Amino acid sequence: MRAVKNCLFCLKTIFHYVPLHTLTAAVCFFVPAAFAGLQVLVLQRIVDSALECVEQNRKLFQEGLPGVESLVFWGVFLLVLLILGSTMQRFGTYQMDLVSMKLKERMAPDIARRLTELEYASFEAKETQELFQKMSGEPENGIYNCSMSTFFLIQKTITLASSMAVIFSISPWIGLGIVLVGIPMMALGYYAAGYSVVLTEESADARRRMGDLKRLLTDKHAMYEMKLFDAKALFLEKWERSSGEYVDIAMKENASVMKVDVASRLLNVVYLVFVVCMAAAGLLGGSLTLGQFAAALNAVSGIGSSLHDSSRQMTWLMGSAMEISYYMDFLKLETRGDLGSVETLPHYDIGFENVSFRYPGTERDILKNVTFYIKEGERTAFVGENGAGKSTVVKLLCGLYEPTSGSVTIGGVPVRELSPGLRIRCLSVVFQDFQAYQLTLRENVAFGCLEALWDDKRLLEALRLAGGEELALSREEGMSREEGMSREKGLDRNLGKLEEDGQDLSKGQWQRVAMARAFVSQARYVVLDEPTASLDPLAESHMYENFARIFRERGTILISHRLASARMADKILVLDGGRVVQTGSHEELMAQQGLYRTMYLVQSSFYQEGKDAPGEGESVPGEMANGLEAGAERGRK
Amino acid sequence: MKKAVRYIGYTFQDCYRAFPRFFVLTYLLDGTGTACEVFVPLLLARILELAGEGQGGKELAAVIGLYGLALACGPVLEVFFRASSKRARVLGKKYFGSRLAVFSAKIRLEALEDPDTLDKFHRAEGGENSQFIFFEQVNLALRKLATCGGMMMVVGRYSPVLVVTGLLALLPALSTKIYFEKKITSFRRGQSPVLRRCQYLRGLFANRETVKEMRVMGFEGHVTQRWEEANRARLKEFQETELDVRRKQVWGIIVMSVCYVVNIGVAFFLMAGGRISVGAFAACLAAFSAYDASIQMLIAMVFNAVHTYRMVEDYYDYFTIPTEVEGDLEYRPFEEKIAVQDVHFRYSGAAGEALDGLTCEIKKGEHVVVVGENGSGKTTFSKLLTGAYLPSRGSISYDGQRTEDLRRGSLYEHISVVPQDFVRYRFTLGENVGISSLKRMGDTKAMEELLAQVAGEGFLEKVGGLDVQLGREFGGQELSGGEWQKVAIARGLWKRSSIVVLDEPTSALDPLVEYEILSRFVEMIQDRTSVIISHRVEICRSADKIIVMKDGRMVECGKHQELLAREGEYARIWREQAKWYV
Repeated sequence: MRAVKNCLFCLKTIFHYVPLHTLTAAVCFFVPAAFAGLQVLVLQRIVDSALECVEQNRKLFQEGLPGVESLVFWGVFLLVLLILGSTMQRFGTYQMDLVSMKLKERMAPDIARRLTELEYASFEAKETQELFQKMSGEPENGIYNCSMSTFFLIQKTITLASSMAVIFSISPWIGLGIVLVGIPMMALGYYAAGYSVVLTEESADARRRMGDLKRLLTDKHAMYEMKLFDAKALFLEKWERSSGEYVDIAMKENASVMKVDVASRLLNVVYLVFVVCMAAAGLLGGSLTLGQFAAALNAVSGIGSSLHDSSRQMTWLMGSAMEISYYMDFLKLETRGDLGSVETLPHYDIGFENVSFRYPGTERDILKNVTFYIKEGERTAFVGENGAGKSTVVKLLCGLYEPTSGSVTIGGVPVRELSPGLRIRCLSVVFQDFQAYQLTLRENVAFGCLEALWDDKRLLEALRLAGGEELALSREEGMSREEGMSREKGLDRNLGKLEEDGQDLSKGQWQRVAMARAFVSQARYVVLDEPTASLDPLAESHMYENFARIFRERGTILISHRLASARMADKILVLDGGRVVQTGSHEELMAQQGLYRTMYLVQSSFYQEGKDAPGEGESVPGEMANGLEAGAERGRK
Repeated sequence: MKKAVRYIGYTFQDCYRAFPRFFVLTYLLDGTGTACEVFVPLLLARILELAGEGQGGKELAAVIGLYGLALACGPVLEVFFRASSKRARVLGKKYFGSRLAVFSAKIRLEALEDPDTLDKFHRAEGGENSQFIFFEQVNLALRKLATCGGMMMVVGRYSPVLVVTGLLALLPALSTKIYFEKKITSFRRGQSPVLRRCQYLRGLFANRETVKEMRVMGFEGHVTQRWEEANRARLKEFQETELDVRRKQVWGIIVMSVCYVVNIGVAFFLMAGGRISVGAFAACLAAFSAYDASIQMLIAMVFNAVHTYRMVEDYYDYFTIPTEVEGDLEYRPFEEKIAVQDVHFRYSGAAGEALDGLTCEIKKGEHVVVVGENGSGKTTFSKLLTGAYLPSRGSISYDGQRTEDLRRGSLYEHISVVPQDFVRYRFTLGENVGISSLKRMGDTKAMEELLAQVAGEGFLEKVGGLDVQLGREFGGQELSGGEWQKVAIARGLWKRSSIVVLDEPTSALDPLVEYEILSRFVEMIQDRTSVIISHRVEICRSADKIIVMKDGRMVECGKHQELLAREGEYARIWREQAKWYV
């Protein structure tokens, strides 16, 4: 039932986007399908009139061929039919090619637009992960395939119907036989098709396991462990087990499907024999002409294979129809509610008032009744253990989620009611898992503030501040010609491996590009959501220095579990289990007995001994400047 | 060309090995099937001749019987063929998949550093079981060729003219196909970068991480624009080339059907002129219809087989990746020291040397800590030390036994590691720990004790036992980053070895948790020779020796206090971190 609904949906969609070509294709497919019956009829006429012609010749012993006109007429008719049939079929296929292209042209932008209009929660929800993975492909191809399959099935049905009609006209008995045999044959075919789908799902687990093992076998880290631990046996044993399981299920499917297949084909054979006998009896008894006999035999063998083909076509159709279900689910997803229209704010203070939050569809409260305020220009740090809710605070602040209760406001207005443009002017965020875009360096940096896209000076300055200046300039002495060319391109060079001239950056270099995005932005607040977590402590310490220097005048919101970085904040909020347990400056918090003090003492104990080390008493600012130099130095390598 | 012949040879050999029964059956069934197909028009002609002459009776009945049999033969054989073909497909998938897996386990570790290897693997994986498809396609082509030949013989019996016109029909079909294939292939090759770009940009809209950034920073519109440009460019090109080719192809097909019709027409006029009987005409009609269908299938299959061959080639090419080179010396446990002498190492494809003349030594029972900045070669050093990588110059020797001379397996028996990028196996918890020493896997009690020591008493209870499947992908329990790390450390300790190497992960772990895990680990390996890559001071302080690395070399070596006093690289690294906690 679902499959039928999906097919209708596909046809509707495809007619909506490309009405003219689809209609032409349908006509070109369906009209020649009716020719099949016609061909049988014409063949019968040819044979009969040819025999008649020969007969008359024999009787009259005369020169010339009387009655040849009708023979020629039917002959020419057959030839025209054949040419017309195959030409239309081809033309129909060409029209479908056009449809496929137009779908990519007209439907794909709609899909992309729709994706940008979805509520962000859908992207993170567990149950829609697979959906989005499929959406990142080309869903219009699924729609196209499903429509194609539907067309073919209809075409086959018409062919069958027209052949049957002709058979009925020749001999109702033979026709009745087809109906009697055909119905169970089709039923068996569909049953087998449905059954295969079920078993394919059953073997999915084994196949996924095989995939996982294979992934391990080409993962250098896994192979390192495997060699050192001499664990090849375990891998291969697991491989054997999964692939064995897969083979078992596949064989089981095979056996069951084959039973059905054998039954249906035997029916076909029985039927063939029946028709040959009936036709022979008719011929010998004189109730069928020779032409009818030949035509009936010709048509019948065609019908048998058509019946089979159409059940196979049905399997395909079922598959492709179920395949597009995800697209229909996609259309049902919620539209985003964070496109507010507020364009100006009286002030830029941030307020979280009694905010509680749990992710949609989950049971656990990530934030519990959190209240805090951040004044414009204030430097704030959130600290806490993994899972304390730090990153969720950022997502709520950006308006990606609606709080379950309470309100998140900037300048007294709920963030989701701000216009997207205003929100961007308020906040600039560097996420922990910042993305590396396989576009030009210019775009990668300017994504922090698009209006600076063509402002080379600003972009270069941002890169310089992030310690990534050399990315836009030449690299080393003695570089090759290609490298020389990429130098000229500067900001416009392609990053990543997508383009042939693209240059992939190291993790650390990408990090600098991501940081440059924050520097190019002129938003009121810069939010840093642990962007340094993947760096080693040394590289991290260089980053802190840059933050401290550059964001001196702007509001900063820093998320970290390394407490050293929190020290430079005016206000530190300690999160634990979804609540704010402590608030205050570093000194204030150190004076209290609490989580912050404990965490800080443990972390600083890593370096306790350093106090005794000579030279440690030097003033910190001087060191910072050195550190910055060192950072740039290292970037150049 | 030589390579193609060799690979096709492999394909048929492997197919025979993977599914011998199907292999033989294919040829038997194909032969019988073709014979039946050829007999059908001949019998039809005979029936019409007999009936047309008004001679009923026994012969006619017998011929009709045979005709029915020949018609029925096709579907019956098809049943057998399809059943065994499906079986063979499954067997092939297993056979070729297993060969790939087994070979992958033998590849040299260095080769895995090369992204090219992974690329080759993915292509080989795509070509997995392409042999089966190739085999089927080649056989189908052969069968259709035989059918075409048979049909030509049938019509040739009636008139040689028909053979000539029949063969002529082959020419336009083949030449148009070759022409279009060439055009489309070159077009597709040219378009693949544009296509990749389109797909990449489009994927950004469905990826939650990129969507998050695009929305928060507001460059969704820009990316949309870029995608639309790329999509338009791609479609325009598609329209100008591929669509154009297809349009011309319509004409090609029309020429083909005209040829078919001409053949029938010739037969028709031969009949009308009384040259051949009506029965013969009917037979010709049937033969030409079968011939036309077979030619189209034959040509399609030949080209499909050529396409499939590329996948076959990808598959066998994978097997040319270098495998592990083994020494043959058996390792004898070292008593004195591991000597590292002027070791150089370069990753394939990398510009500079990862190790550039490293010299140091590690005495038996010593606890050595290696420190240095990112990219100073620490991890590479650890991998060379275990013998997993071999130095490109210089040597690492255990009491004079150089790693490259040793049978690596015999050395590995004495070494355990906790690598920086430890693996999260989607296996059971027990297997995740026990994998380091499979032979002791059955000793669940010892394993439970070890886990309690490393991860705390409550851990096993929380996870639910050693037999619990880990990883959400397979419906198992997901662990947090810290818990996975504990499992990795337990894995490293489960193996009873005299040397332990730990490469500290720079993950986003909670410092508190990390601290706790590491200090337990250090406690537990007190009696073994250990090499730890770490920045933690309390670990440095307790070390017998600290090796400070920079740019692939050792720049300093000594104890914590000595090194601090020396005011060199170590002191600098140290102070950089410490100043935030002053």
